[in-house]
Amino acid sequence: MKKGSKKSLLVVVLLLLVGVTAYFGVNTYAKYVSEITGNTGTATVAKWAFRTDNAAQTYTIDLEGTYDSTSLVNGTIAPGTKGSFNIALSTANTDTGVNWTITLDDIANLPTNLKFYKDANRTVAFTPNDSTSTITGQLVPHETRLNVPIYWEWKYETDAVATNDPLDTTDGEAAKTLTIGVTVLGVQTNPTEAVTTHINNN
Amino acid sequence: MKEENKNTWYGVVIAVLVIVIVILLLLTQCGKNGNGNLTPTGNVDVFNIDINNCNCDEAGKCENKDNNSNNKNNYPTWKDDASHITNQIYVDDESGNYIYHQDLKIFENPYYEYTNKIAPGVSNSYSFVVHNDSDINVKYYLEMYSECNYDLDLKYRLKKNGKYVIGNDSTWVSANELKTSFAKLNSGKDDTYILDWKWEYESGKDEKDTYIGENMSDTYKLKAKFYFEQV
Repeated sequence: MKKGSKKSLLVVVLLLLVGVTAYFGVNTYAKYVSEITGNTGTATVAKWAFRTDNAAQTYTIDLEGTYDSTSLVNGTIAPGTKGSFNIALSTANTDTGVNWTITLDDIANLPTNLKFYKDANRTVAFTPNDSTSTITGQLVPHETRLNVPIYWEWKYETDAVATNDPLDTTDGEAAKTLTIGVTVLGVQTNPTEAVTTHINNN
Repeated sequence: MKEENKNTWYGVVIAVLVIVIVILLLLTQCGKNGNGNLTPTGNVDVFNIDINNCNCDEAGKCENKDNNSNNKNNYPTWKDDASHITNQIYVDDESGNYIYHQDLKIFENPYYEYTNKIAPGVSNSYSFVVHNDSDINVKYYLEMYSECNYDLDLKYRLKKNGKYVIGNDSTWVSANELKTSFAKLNSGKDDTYILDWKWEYESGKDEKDTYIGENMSDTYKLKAKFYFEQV
């Protein structure tokens, strides 16, 4: 082997040895490492189970069973009768408060002069098929039951007797089997706001 | 003659380097124990957070399971009062050292009488501190991630020593974005963290939230992990 080749080989070997030495020198004393694991934050979701008596958001009521018997005429719904029925609401199994809204759906064969009301005095109208005509209120969490009354009346003498009496006669037959569609909507209250069980004065 | 001297010199240098390499190899390989961990020698402090090797009661009083007074395993010396553990790198909150309690009260809130019940509209903050009471400087990162069968729309942001490191005044992130980058913590220093969380009341996801409220029976978990490394 020539002298130059020997020297070059030697230099290469030396460089390799220096590199290997440097590598092991750096990694001889390993650094310390550690982990903390296994700690957990756990959350339980509040239950939502807002219910009506019918367990459905929309249901029907047979008007025939809701009349005030003292106002009946020969045991039938007729002009001069009135009555009421309750929509029962519950948050028994709900962990949040509820803002609720009740509306009356479109009612087929509704006698023209049969009206619904929000109050026992029958002064505040509750109009079917009108999204702006609502009964509203709140329920606190775990409220067993809140009865929301709805009143109706078929007045005996309405204006324009000559027009309405024939209408009443015709409608009287249909009213016996009248069913009322009711829609109940519940929205969780904001936990930052105070809640009380009540019916709003609309 | 000169040539011979040169060759001899080169031979000596190579021999010395080979010997040095062999010694270094012996040092690195023979120092490993059965777990593949290095057992440093010399005047160094060893720290190893190992909850399985400590016999501790709920009050935080504990003793090393290795009753050898020479402390062969080189575990840190535990103090009687857990709140005054020294020579340690650890994390704690108002309930104490993370080593002694796995359950973190992250989701306790005043809306549900400080239980961990949550609903849309609920929020709160949770504080914890990373301590470096050891004699060495470290760098570390923390990571939090959720475990749940339902996709709750919980949002977070994180402050460290009063400044946002994740999110900000107007920005919240999901749980899978709760990971910091490496940060240095010098010997004798602490880092204080505040984790804000919330479940939006008006998230625009009413249908999903309602489904969760009606159907979810298991729990939502937010897990924490801290990784420390000497610098």
